Amino acid sequence: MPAHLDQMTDQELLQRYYREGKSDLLGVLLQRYTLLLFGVGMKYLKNEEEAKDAVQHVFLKVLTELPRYRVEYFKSWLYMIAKNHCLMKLREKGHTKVEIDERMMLVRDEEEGKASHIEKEKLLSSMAEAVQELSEAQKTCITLFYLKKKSYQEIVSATGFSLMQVKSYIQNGKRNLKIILQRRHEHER
Amino acid sequence: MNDKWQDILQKNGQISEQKLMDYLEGRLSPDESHEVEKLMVDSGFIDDAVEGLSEMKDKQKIAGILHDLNGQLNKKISQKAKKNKLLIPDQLTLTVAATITVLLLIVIAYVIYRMYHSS
Repeated sequence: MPAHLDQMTDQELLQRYYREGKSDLLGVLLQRYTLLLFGVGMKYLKNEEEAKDAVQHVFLKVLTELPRYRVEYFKSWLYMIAKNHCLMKLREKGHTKVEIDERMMLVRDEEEGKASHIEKEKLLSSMAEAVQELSEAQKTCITLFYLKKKSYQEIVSATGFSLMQVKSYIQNGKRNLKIILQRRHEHER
Repeated sequence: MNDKWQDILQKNGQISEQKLMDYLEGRLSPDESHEVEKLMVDSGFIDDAVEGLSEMKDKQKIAGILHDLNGQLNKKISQKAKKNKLLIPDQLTLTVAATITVLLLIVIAYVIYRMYHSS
């Protein structure tokens, strides 16, 4: 792979692909995500062969569909394709429960966060107060993670929560903080 | 004073394959692990992938699997490029085809003109 392509951002590669139409540019872009795609396949399908098939399917889909659409956020789009494919495979196997998960989780990578429009300074000044509004478990995990810069494992040891609980308290805590800050910001206007 | 919450507002981006593998195999310090986990909180893609890859008992296999998948991708891409080359004529071919068509039209027009005038 030419060194300069390696240095380009996803967005730059994508723009260049739309200009020049060369599939090898797509190859460079996709190879950046092979590991992540395989990981997503493993998470949902729990089988190496099926996960590999899922990656192949996503590659093929991207090669056929990307020339037809103007994709803005490649990473989010790719994740959506991979996840939808895995969920479809699970549904074919009769795992109907996944539908709820899909609705709940589909947009997490695309979530740009309305909060980013609010000035950073304002956000920072009300962050400490907003954290107080979180549940006790979320407050503890968010503080240890973002303020004390502890890793998941360190938080597990310090709190006695399971790894899954720690992850979910941090993710949900962060999401709730955004909602609280957004609400405060709208209230002030 | 407020800067201590700076981290939560940061937009975190990409992760290298090497960093992800180091994280999975527990080769990172707590500080480095924390950096990877910040990416995971912000990206469902990375988070799902870490969860899936963690479930693999033999992490050594991952490098081989990646190699195969990327090899197959490159194969697909070169096949597609070849197909496109056949379907989409280059600039020179187009120019030659256009010239031949124009010449042919001139000859046909001349033949028709001669036919009318000789009769």
